[in-house]
Amino acid sequence: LEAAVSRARLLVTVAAFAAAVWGLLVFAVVKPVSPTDFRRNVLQVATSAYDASRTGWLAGRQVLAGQLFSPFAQTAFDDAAKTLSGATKQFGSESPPTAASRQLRDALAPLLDSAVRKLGDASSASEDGDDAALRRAVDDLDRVAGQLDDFIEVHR
Amino acid sequence: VKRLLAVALGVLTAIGGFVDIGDLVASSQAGARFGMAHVWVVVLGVIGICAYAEMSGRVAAVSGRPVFDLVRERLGSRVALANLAGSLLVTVLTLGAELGGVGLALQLATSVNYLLWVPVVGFVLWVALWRVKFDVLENLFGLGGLALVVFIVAFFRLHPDTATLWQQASHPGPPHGEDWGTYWYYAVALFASALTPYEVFFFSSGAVEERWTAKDLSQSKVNVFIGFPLGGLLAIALMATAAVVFHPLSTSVDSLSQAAMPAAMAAGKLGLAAAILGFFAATFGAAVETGLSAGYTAAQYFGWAWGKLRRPAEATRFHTVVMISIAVGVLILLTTIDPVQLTEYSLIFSAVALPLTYLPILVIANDRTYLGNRVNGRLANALGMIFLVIVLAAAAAAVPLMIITRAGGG
Repeated sequence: LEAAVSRARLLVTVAAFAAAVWGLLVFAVVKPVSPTDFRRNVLQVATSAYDASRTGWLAGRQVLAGQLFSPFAQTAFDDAAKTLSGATKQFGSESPPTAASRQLRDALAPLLDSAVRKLGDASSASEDGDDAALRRAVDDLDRVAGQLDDFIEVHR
Repeated sequence: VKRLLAVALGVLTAIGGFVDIGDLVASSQAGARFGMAHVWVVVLGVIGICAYAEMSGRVAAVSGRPVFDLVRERLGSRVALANLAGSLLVTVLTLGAELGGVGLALQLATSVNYLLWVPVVGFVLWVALWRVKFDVLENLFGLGGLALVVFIVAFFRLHPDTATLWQQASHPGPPHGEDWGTYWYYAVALFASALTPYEVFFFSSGAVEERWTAKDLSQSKVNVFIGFPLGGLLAIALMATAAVVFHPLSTSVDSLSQAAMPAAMAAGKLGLAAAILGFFAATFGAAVETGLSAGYTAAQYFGWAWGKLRRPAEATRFHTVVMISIAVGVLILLTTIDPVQLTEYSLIFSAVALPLTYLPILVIANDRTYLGNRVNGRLANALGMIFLVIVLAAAAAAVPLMIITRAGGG
């Protein structure tokens, strides 16, 4: 009987612990977004966009220098595009809670848009073997990456 | 000469086989974000795996039985079941990550999406484990993994600012823009990448498969104490090249294509080809090891016939577990989870499961019933205890750090 009681106690403790963890997770998911959370989210998006732009820039430069073979270059651009697409999705997942948050969103949106376009340009130019277009796209990616870096530094 | 060649081959395969997807991902990510500030963790991890791999090799060679077999006998079925549950879960998760790594390496070479490769890789792995000889697999992928030496060459060809790298290595801590939580998150991931549970199970079961005896202990020690540190050097090279290329740009590494980029920048297309070959061999070799480890642990716990050297008809349940583990690994990847992310999760859960693996090894390595006068000496016990404390700390910190840092996102 004693063994059965202690086993039941153990089961209740484990169940209570699991319920508490589950409750915390539910709270974390449904709680309203605070300005601090939103700012953190925006900064994460900007950082991911910066990483993608810089990687695209680096890959483009290596293609121009003849250091990469085509399937690898395409994969590198695809990986950068995937990072950027994840960032864009994350950017659209939360509504800004305050006017200041809206300003932050409006400052980042054009940079994100520009990064998506320029990365696409670089990828297409690399695939087509158009060095002049690739050089232009690489320069543009450098510029966008610089702007994203400034944005991150200002709002960190 | 034959003996020397065998020793050299053992060391070379130990070097090439040391690196797996966990090392590729964690070392490159840490190098890109923190420079060389985590190099001490790699060194610590290598010392830890050397200490425990030597113990498990000794246990297997002297007793003629693998570690997991003895865990159940010595510590009882409950402790062994906890060990089995933890290590099997982590091993299958790691197997999924390795299969994803092979798929990503093939994508780098062909630009065909890794998801299309994953089922093919799973099938080839199953056939290889079924049909190809143990030593052929070990030598082929161990030696193939040596292609990662290209990262050591790349490091020197990139003309690194060694003063800055030394400054980072000698002053551990987060650089500007990073925090301590993220720093420790990557420290735990790197530590776990060196001490993944499957490595010791594979090492001890492999020793039994190859019929090691006490006479082979010196060969085992040479493999461990020379091969593993040199393998660790490859992990450090990956970190260093990422630190040279990505850290000054404040750019994170989130893909295998980024991890390979320094090799291309330093050594062109040939260097890139070597890096991709190294990635392929390292991840496929580790998939072989994790697949077999899943079978070893389950079969040894339940007392089934086991072994790669046994015909499938003689060890049906062992081969079935291996096959199911591969299928589960493939299915995990087909959910479209990012293999790099899967690797990060597998490392963190590895860290949680580490004490379940390493405490029993330490207990058995001190048991004269199995080891006679070859039980741990003072140094092995001191190292074992120190690493057990570190392993416990890493296990306790892993999940809280993952939650606090949003899995390293900051």
